[in-house]
Amino acid sequence: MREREGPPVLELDGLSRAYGRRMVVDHVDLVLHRGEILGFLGPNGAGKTTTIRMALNLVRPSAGTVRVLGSDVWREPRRVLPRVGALVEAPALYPRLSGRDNVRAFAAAVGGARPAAIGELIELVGLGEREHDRVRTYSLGMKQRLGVAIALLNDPDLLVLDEPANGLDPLGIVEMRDLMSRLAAEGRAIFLCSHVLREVEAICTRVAIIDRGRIVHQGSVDDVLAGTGEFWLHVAEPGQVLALLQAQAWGRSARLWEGRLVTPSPTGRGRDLTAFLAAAGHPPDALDRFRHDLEDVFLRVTNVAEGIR
Amino acid sequence: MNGFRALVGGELLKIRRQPANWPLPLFMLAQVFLTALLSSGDNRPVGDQDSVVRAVLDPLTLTLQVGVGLPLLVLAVLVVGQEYQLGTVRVLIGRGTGRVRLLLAKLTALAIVAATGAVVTGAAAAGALWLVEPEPVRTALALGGPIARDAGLNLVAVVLSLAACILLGVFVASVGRSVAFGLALALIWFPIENVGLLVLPALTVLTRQGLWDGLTLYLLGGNLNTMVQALEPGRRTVVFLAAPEPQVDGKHAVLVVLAYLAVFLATSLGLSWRRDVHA
Repeated sequence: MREREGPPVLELDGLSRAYGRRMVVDHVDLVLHRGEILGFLGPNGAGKTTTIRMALNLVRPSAGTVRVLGSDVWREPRRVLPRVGALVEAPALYPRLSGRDNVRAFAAAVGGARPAAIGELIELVGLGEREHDRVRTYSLGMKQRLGVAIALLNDPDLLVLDEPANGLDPLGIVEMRDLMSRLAAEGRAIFLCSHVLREVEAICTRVAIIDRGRIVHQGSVDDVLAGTGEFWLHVAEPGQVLALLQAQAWGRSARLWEGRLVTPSPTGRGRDLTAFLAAAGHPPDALDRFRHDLEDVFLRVTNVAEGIR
Repeated sequence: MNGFRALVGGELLKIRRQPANWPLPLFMLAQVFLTALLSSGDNRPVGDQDSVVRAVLDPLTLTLQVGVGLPLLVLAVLVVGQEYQLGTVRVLIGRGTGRVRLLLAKLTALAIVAATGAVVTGAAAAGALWLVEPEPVRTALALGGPIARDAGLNLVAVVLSLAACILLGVFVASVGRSVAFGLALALIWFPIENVGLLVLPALTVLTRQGLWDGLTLYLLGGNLNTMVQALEPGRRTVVFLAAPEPQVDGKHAVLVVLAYLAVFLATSLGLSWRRDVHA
């Protein structure tokens, strides 16, 4: 288990990148602590990949800083970047080398690795039986697993994973999710880019949404998904109940949403809403706190930022 | 393990284990056979020192310059270009390998391959010469000391040729960041220069302008072709392909080649250091 005290694992401070007059990344501020899994979301071309590339010393920022464990990535890359494992976009591998030789070749970048450690990583991602086969014979999912093994070289404190579930079968996706949760539980920080919002919702502790280069929404997953004290109801006659609720001063925002009735409560408590409906002759069959799903939040905040697409 | 040593080890692993590189030693072997073939039946008198040097050292030098140089040129393009083409450079740099450090590790690995290739090819070529023309080889071995200076100057020519091949390959791959672009440019570089060495003097005659002849003095390939002759003006040497007109002296040839090497190296390092990685 890693020490949870100390500086944030990753800090982006005013990070910006312009190509000519176009700001691709515009003053992005993010902090990631140990044990956190941050979902970094955004539409295509929003600036996700450029942000990651700046964090990994690949693209020079126009302004701002990237710090890993308190050290500036662009001033001290050799000190901090060996502590960062990354899988950016499609896994970049040597197709004519075996899986094992690929790991050995990349291990050289972090000062080499013991053969036993390489074997353990390959086993961890489930490629033990194919480690001596050339990578060109691997499926996309297997390449993805190998990319993760390479990212885990040198036992990094920060993992930057861009679409790690890409190409994986359902079992592989579950295994990847478990692996990420385990790595975070051991005290690593994970910066996860994904278009699979359900995955992000399931495993991330925080999310940040970027659009047109700016962070348009960020917070803990619970905060982002929390409704505004509303409840969803399942009732026998939703049309009649909706009219009844909208006639109340406290219920004007009641609405039908994806086939369900969503409404505030007279007092903010579920029991009072149940009592009101029962008294009106419409006792609910089911009632729960209303939560947004991440897809809804994502579409809403990116539309707000851009206007209707 | 020391970080830089590990990096060089990683580069050597990639060179050794990638099947695309395996045919390259066959070219060295083919050059050894060609040298043996061209030398066989050449009943040159071996009485004086110059004729011994011409019969043994010059073919060996040519074998190393071409037989090791050309595969090295291709290998240098592959070693640098594939990292950009495959996108693997972003993983290496993203793990803290400095851009310049990575390039220096690649150059070191290529230098190790060049030295190994030169020793193996040189030994094979010497053995082949001994088989087809034993007398000059025996005489050369017997002479020992007196031809050491010639051998040293020929070695300088070989080292400069191999360095030029490595740095040219690294330069074109760094500029184009692609194997295809690098190979295309690297493989036409010397043929174009050799054609230029033939065409430019003709232009001098046609236009009555000495400028064209002057240009031949500063071509990399021409100066490498004539390097042995330029370094050893006192003896008649084997000149491969075309040479600058008029014949340059040793100092000029070495300086021109060193200038090219410096430009290739500085440009490759500068581009690697300065440019963003979008691979």
